[in-house]
Amino acid sequence: MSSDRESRQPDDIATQITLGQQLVAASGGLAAASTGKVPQDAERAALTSLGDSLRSAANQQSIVAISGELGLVSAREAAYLVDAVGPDAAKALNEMANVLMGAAEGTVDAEDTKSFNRVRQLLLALSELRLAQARNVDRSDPPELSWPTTLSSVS
Amino acid sequence: MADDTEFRFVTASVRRAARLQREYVDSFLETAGSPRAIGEQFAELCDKIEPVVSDYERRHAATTDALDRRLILNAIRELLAWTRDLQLRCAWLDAAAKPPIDLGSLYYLRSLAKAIVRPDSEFTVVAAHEGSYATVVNPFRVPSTPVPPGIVLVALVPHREIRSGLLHPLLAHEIGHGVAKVHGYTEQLRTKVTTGRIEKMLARGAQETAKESKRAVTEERAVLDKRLGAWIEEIFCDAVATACLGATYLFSFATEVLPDDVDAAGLKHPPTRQRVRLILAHLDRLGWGSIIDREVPGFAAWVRGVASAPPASQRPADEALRKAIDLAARRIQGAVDKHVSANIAKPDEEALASVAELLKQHVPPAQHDDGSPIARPMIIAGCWLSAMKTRSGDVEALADAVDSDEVGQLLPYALELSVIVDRWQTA
Repeated sequence: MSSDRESRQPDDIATQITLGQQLVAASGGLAAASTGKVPQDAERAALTSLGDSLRSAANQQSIVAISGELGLVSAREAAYLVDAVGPDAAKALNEMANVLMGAAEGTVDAEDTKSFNRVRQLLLALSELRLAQARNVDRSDPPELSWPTTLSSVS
Repeated sequence: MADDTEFRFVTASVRRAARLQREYVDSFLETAGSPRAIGEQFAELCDKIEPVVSDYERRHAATTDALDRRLILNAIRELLAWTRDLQLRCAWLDAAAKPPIDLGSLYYLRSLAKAIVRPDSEFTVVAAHEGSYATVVNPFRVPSTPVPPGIVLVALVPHREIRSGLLHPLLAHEIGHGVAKVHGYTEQLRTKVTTGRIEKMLARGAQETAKESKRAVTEERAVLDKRLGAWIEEIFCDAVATACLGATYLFSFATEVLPDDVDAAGLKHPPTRQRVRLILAHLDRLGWGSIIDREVPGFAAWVRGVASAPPASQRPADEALRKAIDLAARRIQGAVDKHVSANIAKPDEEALASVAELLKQHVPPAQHDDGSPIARPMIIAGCWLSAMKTRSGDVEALADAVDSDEVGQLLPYALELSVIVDRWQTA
């Protein structure tokens, strides 16, 4: 009622568990698509949902939007993600969204290894952020992440 | 062949954590009467964990790719963290079984929640050891629209205040969050008001803020839109509590919030000066203003002075939000008055006089002379007025009145007796 103290821990554990499962399913779907296989129904749904979220976040050009779309509690986590994506985050996120959507629809080029790798690195980065978020909560130091400094440089 | 030992160990730990949480909620459900949905939904969430673990196991076994396996390991560890964190909610089950506040206040608030949120609402009050008053709606379910049957509302009360019966009315504000979320008022109102002058103010606020912050205007605008939604919801909840409780809410609100900086704009909360002004305007329209002015003139003059003084200069974003809220306030309060129309507490001078007289006789103020029950909002308002008037009646009396021994003893009984009398006479 009267406090503006922000907690980094989401109240909504049910949503966070669902989003975690969606990320794993999307990663599985992407792996299938990259070998020319058709993703399963649940994987297609996860790819579409994650693609929608990335596209929406990119189009809003807002870190707040990215944190909201991807279930990251703090805008700070989303800012790490944007830094990792590279200088033109909106363009990069839109491109990655296209890969996810293409994998869901079966229209992606399975030979485009560079694009697949970029998106796979993004998903790994997202899983690291989600883990850091779930583990902790009121710390002030940034989470230690293992993905490359800029995903745009991944080939 | 990749080593699966680490993954299997984490997986077993998730299963163990989920089993422990399930056992705790099972023991709650064995004896739970009402509220019960909080336990059932907790159990539902525990039961969702095993299929997720099985899915991760299957996917982990199916891939040999190092990146994929790393991602799944991250995900199962994340799941372990959430599953263990469910223990934070076990205290909520304890509170549902053994409420931390008096039953008179609790029964009143539960009936209010059923009346204005939805009849299938269950209201639980939890004593919180950190933070302020707060609300969580359906904490164990993924949000969905429309909200499915069985609404669980959890309101947090600062532990120090569990015996402060005259502050429990602040929980009506928390129930307001339930109304806003379940009926989608926040987004509806934000969309409706973000036009014309308010749209221009927000656009200008975002531009000026972006100049200072060096961030993109779109970024600052997204922040402003999010904050506007939060501020609208706070004004909405103030209006719910004001409409349902009348002057009581002003007294409780002033005790809790007014000692702090009245011009501080929060991320999610408008400045207190603005909130008090809007609460007073609402009370004046409902007919409470003249009663406050007459009964506790010292307090009324001070609070009206705070409300009418010019606000301190704010940062551009806060200034834009404050002005937007001023323009939108009548619309927000109008939406509330319409929603809670059957529960609006208009002042009943006869009831207030009865409460004052019964308190003088050390009798729980639950019934009129003719035996009819006194409405519970009037009982609480009468208790507040008596506690203030037996002291100086000035604003500083709030800090003492709120702990009035006599009111503290008689108010909970009166609230319980009022219900008993009402049901007896209705039967």
